[in-house]
Amino acid sequence: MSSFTEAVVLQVGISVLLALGYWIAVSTGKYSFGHTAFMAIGAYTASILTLNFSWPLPLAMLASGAAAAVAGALIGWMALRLSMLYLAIITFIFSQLVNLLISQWEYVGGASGMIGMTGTTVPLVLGCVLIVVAYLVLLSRSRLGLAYKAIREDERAATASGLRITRIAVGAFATSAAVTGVAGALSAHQLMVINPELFGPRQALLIILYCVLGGVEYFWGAALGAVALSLLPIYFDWLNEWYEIVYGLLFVALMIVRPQGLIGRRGGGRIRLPRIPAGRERESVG
Amino acid sequence: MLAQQLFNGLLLGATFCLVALGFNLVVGAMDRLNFALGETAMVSAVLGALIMTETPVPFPVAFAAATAIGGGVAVAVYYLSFRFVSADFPTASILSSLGCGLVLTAVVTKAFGSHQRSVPDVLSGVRLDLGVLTVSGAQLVILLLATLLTAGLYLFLERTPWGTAIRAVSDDATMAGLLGVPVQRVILLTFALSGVLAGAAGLLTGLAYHSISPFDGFTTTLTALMIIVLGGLGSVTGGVVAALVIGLIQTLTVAYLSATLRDLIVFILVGIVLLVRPQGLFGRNAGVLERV
Amino acid sequence: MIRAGTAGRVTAGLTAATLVLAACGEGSGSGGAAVYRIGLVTSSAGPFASNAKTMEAGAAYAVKLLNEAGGIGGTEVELVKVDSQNNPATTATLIPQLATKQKVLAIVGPVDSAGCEVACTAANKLKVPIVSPGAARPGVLENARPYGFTIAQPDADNSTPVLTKIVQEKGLKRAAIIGDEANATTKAQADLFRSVFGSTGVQVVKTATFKSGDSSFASQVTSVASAKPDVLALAAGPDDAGRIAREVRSQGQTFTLLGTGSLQSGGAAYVAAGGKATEGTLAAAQYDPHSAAPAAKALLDKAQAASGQAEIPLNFAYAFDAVHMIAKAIEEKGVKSDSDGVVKGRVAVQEALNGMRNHQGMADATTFKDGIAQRPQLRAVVQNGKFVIDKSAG
Repeated sequence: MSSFTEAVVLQVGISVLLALGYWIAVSTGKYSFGHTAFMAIGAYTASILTLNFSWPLPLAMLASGAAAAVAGALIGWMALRLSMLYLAIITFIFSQLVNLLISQWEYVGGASGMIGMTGTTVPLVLGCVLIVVAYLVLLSRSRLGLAYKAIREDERAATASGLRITRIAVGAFATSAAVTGVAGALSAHQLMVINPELFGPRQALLIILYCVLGGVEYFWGAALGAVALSLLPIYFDWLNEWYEIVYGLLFVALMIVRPQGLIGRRGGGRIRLPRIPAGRERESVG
Repeated sequence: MLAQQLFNGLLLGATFCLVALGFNLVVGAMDRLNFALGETAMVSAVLGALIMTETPVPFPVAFAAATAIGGGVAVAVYYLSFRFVSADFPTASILSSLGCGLVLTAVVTKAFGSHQRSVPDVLSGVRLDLGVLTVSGAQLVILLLATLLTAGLYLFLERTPWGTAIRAVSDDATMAGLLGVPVQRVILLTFALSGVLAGAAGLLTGLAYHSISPFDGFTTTLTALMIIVLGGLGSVTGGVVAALVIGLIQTLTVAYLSATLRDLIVFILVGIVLLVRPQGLFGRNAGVLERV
Repeated sequence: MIRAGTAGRVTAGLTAATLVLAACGEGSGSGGAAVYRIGLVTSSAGPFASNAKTMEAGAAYAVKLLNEAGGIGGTEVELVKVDSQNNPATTATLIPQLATKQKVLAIVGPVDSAGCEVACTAANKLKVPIVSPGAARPGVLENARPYGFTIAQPDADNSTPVLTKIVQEKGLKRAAIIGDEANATTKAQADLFRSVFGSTGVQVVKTATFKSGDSSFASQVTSVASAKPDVLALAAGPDDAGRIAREVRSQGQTFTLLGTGSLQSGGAAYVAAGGKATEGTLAAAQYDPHSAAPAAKALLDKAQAASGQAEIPLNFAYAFDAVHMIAKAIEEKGVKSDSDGVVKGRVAVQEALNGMRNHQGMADATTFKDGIAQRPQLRAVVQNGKFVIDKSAG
């Protein structure tokens, strides 16, 4: 395998991991706007361990997953009971806070960041993707997966059915953070460079786009979105300066034609409530 | 110096106020967030600045042009990201308007380059010395126009039939529709109005900052979001007060602490307010928050 | 059951599709055509899009001149352009693409430090020489040696002597510094000013901070003005510095403005952003667009005529020199243009670049020291709306 193929597979694999990690949180209906914080926590934890303590990368990845999971559980516990906008803002603030802390922390190089991490290989990345996919396949067949879905569809009904929704949602959020943290660790050891800039709002948006482009209903939708979006800039570079414009218009067009994403049923798999959707009503009146 | 800093903060707040009000109008009308509003402001400011530097027209004309451009862009965004996008998916309009924002930034970068664009001064000869503080001509213009637009919007919403219609749709679109309010046209008007405010905010911010960068859009949207959450979604008074509070906090943080902490302090404040008082400082109900 | 099965199939399908796509890309690589390929990493998105465009023009112009003169030893040079879209992950993939798919001998770009950090590190790992015509953040090549090079010298080494001299000549006593602490480049500039003021006995009366790109400077300038300095040191990118200058003058302040080399490196950006307020600003500089050195002058005049620009921007000249230095290295070592020799060729080019002394190019003399170009130490002042190199100061 040439180094180009390798680089493509690594990039796609890491993007898929990020998308799958994010999907776990979304599968309970919770959109985070600060998943880069978990990515940063994972990347920095692993980099400190491999660079300064000479840990082997796989072990450092476990540690970074654990660190991200703890942070995820904490944030999730604070914010998951709240509505979508709330959660979006709290998670966004959290990511800014993490970003500020690492940019002020001289031990990890402050604004210049850390440099010189290596060790991300194709088997390692594909192995991680396989493990996460296996987990998600099992999850989608399990009662827990069903519980996630129940919470996504209707929190009140889920509570009424005896689900401890906060605990389940916090668990999902922590798992999601852990996967994202591991992806961050892998990404750091592929790029060989990390700095706070890499974990800004732009990256946060990219993770969300992966997931929503593919569709949030099934996890492979998210994976497909990640594959598509990470291959686009490589194979559509002939668009050159038009790339960003085409990219933006693609989203605009897609949201009109398929607001549920590439994969997924019209209606997002939601159970239609008797409430008439506001948009329709307006059209008939206006 | 404190007086001067407080004035600086007030001025910053006044420009924030306009774009936050624009944001708020749309939230009221559709329960959806228009994430392209910051870019709308940016485009208006860039083109406004272009008119100011390339043509001999006086500032008021350039300002009017910028507001008109803002209104036009906002209407275009409405058709692209809201009118035909299903309301069943809360993420669809957010993503679509983010996409519009991306396109606007890319088009401006392509047409005018990635450098910041200088905004010429207005009334550069004027300086008012009030003892504890001095006010430049540009600052006077900013304060005056921002106050006029805010007051104008308030009167429009409270005293005119169309303003009443906007408030009616904001309260309950279905009921308003049943009572004969042309809901679609009111929503279109709301978007145009929000664009006009954003366009004004863009050019006035450009005046205050002396330049405008094609990458300002996202920051503008973010600040506006913080303001309306702090003030209470859909509340005009809350938006004005929150904008001034955030303007003052940002200025004082920079003056007495560090610019690095500036955004963080605002974020933490908003976070605390959200946890203690979810409907925001002046929110009438938390219902809007639930719906968005 | 059915759903999970579909999931498995889709996942397998996706993996297969990715691999096939990647493999396809690999297959369609360079044929046997005998040309020297040089990669160019640009970015059409992000705050360095304009600089990248300037760089691209410089590199393309250099290749055009080379080929018009019969190429290198009769073989043409081809520029292979890739666009990183200002995205680090994409950059990390594009460098291997240039290395294995396009089989380039060397790479020019990216123009910005953040991009170079990723690209140069990746290129070094693949043993492809890479020359950035603009990355000047301290330590940008830390993990990119021996294959990484930058033609821009970091301010700390280039500007210190000149700034020290300016401070002494002007008899400055009280200084204020304004900088962005969360940005590695401007933070280094602020540290540079602190050390210059420290060594010359100037008292730093106020340090103000800002965040790059997004703030009103009214508050900072009010604070600075209240400390009554003789000089305000601008540890800021050219755009931000220009706005600071505007705010300083619009608040009626008259103290001197002082900048590091990067202020002048930005070409017209500082003056474009600051307008008349920038008049009289003093700065260190490492590039003279109106150099009197014979080799540089001839090239600059020709480029001016060809491009229609009255002043050749720094990134243009640096990219031009980067291409020519690579060409010179290829010629010196007699590197073959066939694709089999490409690995050996890269080693040869790297060795030649590291050994190159005083390359006389469009941007005067360049010598790499540990990959970083040692640039002339010049002094610039803004006069009549543009930076002018103050030749009398030496």
